[in-house]
Amino acid sequence: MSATHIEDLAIKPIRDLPDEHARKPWLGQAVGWLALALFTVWFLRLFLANPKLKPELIWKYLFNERILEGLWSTLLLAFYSMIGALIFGTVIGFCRISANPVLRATGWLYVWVFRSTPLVVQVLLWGNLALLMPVLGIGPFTVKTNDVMTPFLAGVIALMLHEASYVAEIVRSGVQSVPRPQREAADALALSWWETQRYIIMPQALKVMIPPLGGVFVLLLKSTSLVIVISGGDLLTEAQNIASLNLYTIELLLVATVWFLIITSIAYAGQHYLEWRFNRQNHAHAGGVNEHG
Amino acid sequence: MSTVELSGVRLSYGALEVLKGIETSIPSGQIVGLIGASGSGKSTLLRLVNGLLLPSSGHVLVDGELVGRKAKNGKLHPMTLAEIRRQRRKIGMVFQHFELFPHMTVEENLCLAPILHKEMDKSEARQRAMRLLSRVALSDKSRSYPGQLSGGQQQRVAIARALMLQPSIMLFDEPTSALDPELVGEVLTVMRELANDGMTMIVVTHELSFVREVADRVIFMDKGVIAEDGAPKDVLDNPKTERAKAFLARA
Repeated sequence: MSATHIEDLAIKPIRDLPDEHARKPWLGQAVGWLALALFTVWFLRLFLANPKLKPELIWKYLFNERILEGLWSTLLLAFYSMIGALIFGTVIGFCRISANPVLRATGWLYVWVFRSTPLVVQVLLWGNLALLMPVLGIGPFTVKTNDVMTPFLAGVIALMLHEASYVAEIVRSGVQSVPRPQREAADALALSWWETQRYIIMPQALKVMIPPLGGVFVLLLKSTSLVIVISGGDLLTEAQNIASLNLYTIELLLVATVWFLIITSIAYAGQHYLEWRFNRQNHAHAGGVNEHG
Repeated sequence: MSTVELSGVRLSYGALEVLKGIETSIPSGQIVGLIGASGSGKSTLLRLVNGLLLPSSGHVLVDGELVGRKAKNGKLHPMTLAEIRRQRRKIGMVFQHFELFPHMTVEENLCLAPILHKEMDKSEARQRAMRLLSRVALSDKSRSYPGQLSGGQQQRVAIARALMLQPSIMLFDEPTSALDPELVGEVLTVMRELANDGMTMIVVTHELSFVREVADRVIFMDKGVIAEDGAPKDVLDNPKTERAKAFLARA
C-alpha cells in the first residue's frame, strides 16, 4: 500500500459524514398528545355534561362565605399543627439519636405509637377527650373539657402530634446524613453540643430535610379534611354542611377539590422555591469536590 | 510549655481492647512521628491527648493536668464543658479528611471557634485568620468555600484553623493520606515550618521520609502497644522487633 492511499482512507470517510442532525420523530409524540387531550376532554365531559351535575353551582359556591371560612380554618389548622409538629418533632428526633438510653426509648416509643395508628382514630380520640376526662386542670384550677377542647383545637393537637412523628424521622435522618467526623472536628474545636448543632450540623442537615418536610406539609394540608369526623369546621366540613341542606353533594365536594388543588399547588411551589434558594445558597460547594466521596 | 504523659493507658470498645497499656511521655517542643499498621491504635492514641476519647483505665495528662477528667474525693469525674474548653484550646487537631465545614467560607471556618469562645472579637479574629492564611500561602482564598479548593489547599486551611486558638500542641491524624501525591509536598512544607517554630507535634503518618527528616522521635505501634520508640534513624533503619522490620519493609 502506498502512503497516499492510506491518507485517502483516513480523510475521505470523515469528509463524507453528514453534518445535519436528523429531526426527532414527531408523529408519535403528536399522536400521544392528541390522545391525552381527547381522554381529558372525555373525562371532564363525564362530569360536566352529566345532566345530574350542575357545574354552575361549583362556581357559585367556590366563593361562598361559609366555604371561605372553612378554607381559612383549614389553612389555620395546617399552619398551627405544622409549627407545633416542627418544634415537637425536632425534640423527638433528637431524643431518637440521643446518647441517653431513656430519651432514645422515649423517642422510639413516641414514633412507634403515632405512626402505627390511623390519623382518623387519633382525631376521634382527641375530639372525644371529654368522655374520658370531663374536667381538665389541677386543684382549684379546673375547666370543663368541652369549653377548651373545641373541635378546632382537638384537630390541631391530633394533627400536630401525628405529623411530629414524621418530622422526628426526617430530623433524625437529616442529622445522621452529616458525616460523623464533622462532629469530631467541632469537638476538637471545643464547641458545645448546642453550638455544634446550631452552626455545624443543622445547616448541613437542613438541605436534606427540606424536600421531605415540604412533603409532610402538603400531606398535612390534605389531612386537615379528616377533622370532618369531629365536625372540625374545616373546608370539607363546611362543604358537607351545605350539601346536607341543599343535597348538591357532588358539586360541593368538587368545590372542596378545587380549593385543595389550589392550596396544595401553592405549597408545592413554595417547596420548590425553598429548595432552589437552598441550592443556590450552597451552590458554591454543592458542585465542588466532596471530601467524603 | 507542654508535656504529654500517658501512664497505664488502656482503652476498650466492648470486648475489643484497642490500647493495651501505654506508657510514654512527650516533652514540650518534641516532634513525634507515630507509625504502625492500620488498627494498631495510633489514631486512638492521638485522640486521647485532646480528650476526644477517654481511657478505660490509666491516665492521660497534659501539662501535669488530667485530660477530660478531674479527681475528686478519690474518684475520677468528667470535666465540665468550660474546663474541657480551657484544656482543648491549647491542643489543635488536623484530620485525614480535613473536616472543614463545607457550608462556611474559609474565613468563617477559621473564625467560628475563637468568636464562639469569646477569645477574640470579630475584627481580631479576622486579622488573625488573615495572618495565618498568608502563612499557609492562601491569603487569596479567604472568601472561598472548601469545595472550591484542592485537597492540599483544604488541608492547609485546616491547619490554619487549628492554629487560630494559639495551641501549644498540634495533633495530626494522617494529614496527607487523602491527598493526591502531587499535593502532599505543600502540606508537609507547612508542617515543617511549624516544627521549626518549636511547636509540640504528634503526627500519625505513613510519610516515612517526612518522619526521618523532621521528627525528633519515632514511636512504632503494634496491636495496641508501643513496640519501638527512639530516634528516627534507629527505629527506621535498625528496627529491633520482627513486626517493625516487616512493616518498614512493606512501607
